[in-house]
Amino acid sequence: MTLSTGTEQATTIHGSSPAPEVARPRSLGLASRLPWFPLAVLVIFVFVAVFAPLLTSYDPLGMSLPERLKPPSHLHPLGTDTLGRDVLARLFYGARISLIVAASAVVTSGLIGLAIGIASGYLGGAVDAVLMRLTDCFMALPTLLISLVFVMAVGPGLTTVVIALSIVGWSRFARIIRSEVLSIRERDFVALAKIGGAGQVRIMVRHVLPNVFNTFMVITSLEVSGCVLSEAMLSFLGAGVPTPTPTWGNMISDGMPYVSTAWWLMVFPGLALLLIVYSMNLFGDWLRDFLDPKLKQG
Amino acid sequence: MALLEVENLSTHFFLRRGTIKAVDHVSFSIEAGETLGLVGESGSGKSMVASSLLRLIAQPGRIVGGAIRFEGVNLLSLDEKQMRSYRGRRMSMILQDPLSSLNPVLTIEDQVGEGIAIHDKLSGAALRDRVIEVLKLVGIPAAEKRLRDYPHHFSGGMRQRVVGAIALACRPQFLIADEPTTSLDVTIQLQYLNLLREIQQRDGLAMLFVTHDFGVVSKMCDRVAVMYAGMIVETASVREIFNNPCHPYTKALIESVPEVDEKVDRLSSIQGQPPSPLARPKGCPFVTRCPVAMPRCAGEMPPETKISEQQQVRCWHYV
Amino acid sequence: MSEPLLVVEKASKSFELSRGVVFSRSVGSVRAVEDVSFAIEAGQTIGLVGESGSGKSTTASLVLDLNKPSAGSIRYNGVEINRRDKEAWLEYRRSVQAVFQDPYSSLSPRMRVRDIIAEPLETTTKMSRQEIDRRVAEVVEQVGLPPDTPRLYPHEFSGGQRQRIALARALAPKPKLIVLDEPVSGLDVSMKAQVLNLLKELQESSKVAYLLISHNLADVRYLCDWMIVMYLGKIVESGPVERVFAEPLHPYTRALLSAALPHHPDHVVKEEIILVGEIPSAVNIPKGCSFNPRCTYAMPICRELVPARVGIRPQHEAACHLYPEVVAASGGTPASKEN
Repeated sequence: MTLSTGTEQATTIHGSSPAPEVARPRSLGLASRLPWFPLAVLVIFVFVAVFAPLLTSYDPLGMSLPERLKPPSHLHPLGTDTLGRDVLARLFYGARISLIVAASAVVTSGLIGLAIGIASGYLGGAVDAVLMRLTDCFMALPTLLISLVFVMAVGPGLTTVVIALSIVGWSRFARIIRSEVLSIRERDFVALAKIGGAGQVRIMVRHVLPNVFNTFMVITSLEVSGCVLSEAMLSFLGAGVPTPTPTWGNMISDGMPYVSTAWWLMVFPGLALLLIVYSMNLFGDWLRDFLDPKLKQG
Repeated sequence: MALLEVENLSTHFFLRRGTIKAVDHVSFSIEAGETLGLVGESGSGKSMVASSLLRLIAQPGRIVGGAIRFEGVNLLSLDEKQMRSYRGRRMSMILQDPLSSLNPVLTIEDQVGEGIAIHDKLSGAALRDRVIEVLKLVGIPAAEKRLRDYPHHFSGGMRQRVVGAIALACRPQFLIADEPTTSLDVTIQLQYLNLLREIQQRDGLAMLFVTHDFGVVSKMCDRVAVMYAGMIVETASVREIFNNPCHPYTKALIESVPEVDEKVDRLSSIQGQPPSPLARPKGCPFVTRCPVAMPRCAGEMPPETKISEQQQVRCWHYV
Repeated sequence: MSEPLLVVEKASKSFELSRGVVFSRSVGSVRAVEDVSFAIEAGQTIGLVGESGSGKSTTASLVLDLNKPSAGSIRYNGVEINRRDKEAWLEYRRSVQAVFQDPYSSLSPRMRVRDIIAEPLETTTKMSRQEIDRRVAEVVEQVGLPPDTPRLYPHEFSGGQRQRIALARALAPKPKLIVLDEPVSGLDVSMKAQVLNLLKELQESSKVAYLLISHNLADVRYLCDWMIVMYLGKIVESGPVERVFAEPLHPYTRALLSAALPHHPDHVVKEEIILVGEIPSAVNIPKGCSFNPRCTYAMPICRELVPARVGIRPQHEAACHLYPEVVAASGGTPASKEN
């Protein structure tokens, strides 16, 4: 049996003073405990992706056979690959592809999932039944397999990869957001909105949407790392963005045969991938705790 | 010597934003067979007093000072193992919400029997007999047939009786009831209060009754302690509290509740809000809302002043 | 004589219980409200009293058009509220507002107070932005909140203050009726008195009618001039508050009154009636008078015949076979009506 303060909620009072039952300590200043490490990694990632051309003088596609397979040196900090291309430059430009793919795939699937989740959860009934069966179907699909099949059928390319990842991604958004909406729908402010004359669309947009936003952000952050990983996997399997465009996935793939002779080809893109995915997940966890109203309001 | 003597008990919560003095130098005593009402609004720390008595304060809270003497033994000097022999056995507790007080996946027999098995080392048929006896004590009809039932088979009022059965299973001498009837309907509340009274009279149980309802106080309690912002501002017999309330907060509190048995035109209400637990005034905590506050009240904490044999008040007007 | 502001006539609401997802079948229904009739005059305050399961909140949801009645009619200004006549509907939505029990759940945490209060104005009137802002400032002042309130978010307020915001929103479109569903039950004693006083003042100044749903008889006595007692979805007694308190007719009302504990230890309850058992589940409603299994006065007829609600004293009605008028009136209705 745990003792809590029961129904008494911690509150802040306008003007002077809050009247919380000593309650549960409020979040202990989660905001002040920013996740510095993942945040720094993510900022650097975005910075590198955006300003890649300014950060390296090498052309990621510029071949130089005499320079091939050079280990890291002061000229090529991360060495060169089999065609003499600078690994650092390719890593920088590869970050661009990862960022573009992850951002577009997550935004596309997020928006679709958000719309379907809200409509399904709020409208309920037959709409809900149909939309959720559809969602179930897509959720049952193995992401990688479907993406592979899709890419094979349509032909590789940046857009294809984005579409492939979105096809499966939206269903996770829809599922989680719907369950959130189911509880929001029962809150008194929704009933009061109806009493105040608000129609269904208005209620979904003005009352439900802002209240699922936290959840949406948390799923988004976790999905980003999933997309970065999936894109790398597709590229690794040769179904992603085609060569010679550098992506972390095809860099790893290209470097694999040389793992014993030129370790830097595989290790650096692998490390970058690991760092990004790990940071994104840490950041997502932090975001979830930070935005959790239960932790925040006691 | 009283059964329970609490002296200068202080429980603080250490948060990043500062320290909350949830319970601040609280002193009271309860005799065997007596009921003390602990009255206050949410945030006054009344539930924290209850939890502190059983030493059930979780991080980041801590009992920082004072003494809790039960039959002369200071509970704060016991180790956790010794403390466990008090909890449930000699002192027990009923909480407000019967739904969350019961484990939904265990049968009533298991839940009521748990304490008996731990403390009285009973098992098998002997244990079952005791469980039936306790369930009968709290007025559960056909108790024998309900042993294998789960909490969801019971209505709200019956669930709260089961909670009572768990609390009373080991025949404690002292029972803490933390708003036990707040979630019950009035007609069910009346049944439950009468039941508690009966058990109390039969077993000479001492009770600490935490509530915000003066109707319940009048019905159940011998004496009342009024809490505000972590402190007891007034202690008195029930009759004195109503006939001669001394502390301005007590007065206001009593006048601000509508009575069932008379029609009033306007309620007098306490203006403003309770002070923030992080920024309590240096002197009397009620100073910000007190209609008769003097300059002295803001700067200095009023001492406890004796008004009569049973009545004490913390207010500069009576010093 | 013109029709009262709001008329509820023989309204019933039952919820179907179904099992199965694909081939769902009905496995019975729960009666939430049955045959409830009452009227609210302009400026009147009616208290709807009963314990949990009595159907008082369902009645409120019918009045607010959050649930559609299974049978019966609810008319605002003589017009059926379910009718989708745009003009009449907007007029109804503007004129009937509500305040709910839980001040934490009633305000959307992501909207500024200004937008919360302004919503009924935006949806039901053609007021301009400036007019709306002016009205918001007006009602904020009326409920005694500081002028900078509209630009803040709900989490910056305490429970009592949030309930004031909820009230400000209800007042904004100048309603004729506000449904108050346990408006002070979630508040602390000192906040409760503030809100109760505010409700009383607002009514005196704006002549709005209240339908107060409450389990607290003291609150009803303080605020209302008329009260209705419900038990298991039916009205068992109704009349002017002071008359019901002075001379409760129905045994259930008497039990309720005796269970409301007076505060002062010297005020003793005249007769302490301890009801046996609890309110039965709405799936298994007792035959005859719903209250008969718990009633100390139950007679054979109570188990057979559903008592009709008729006037026993002037304006004061009850549905109980203890009164010959009720037996006579119920005799006309067949006992098999329940099925």
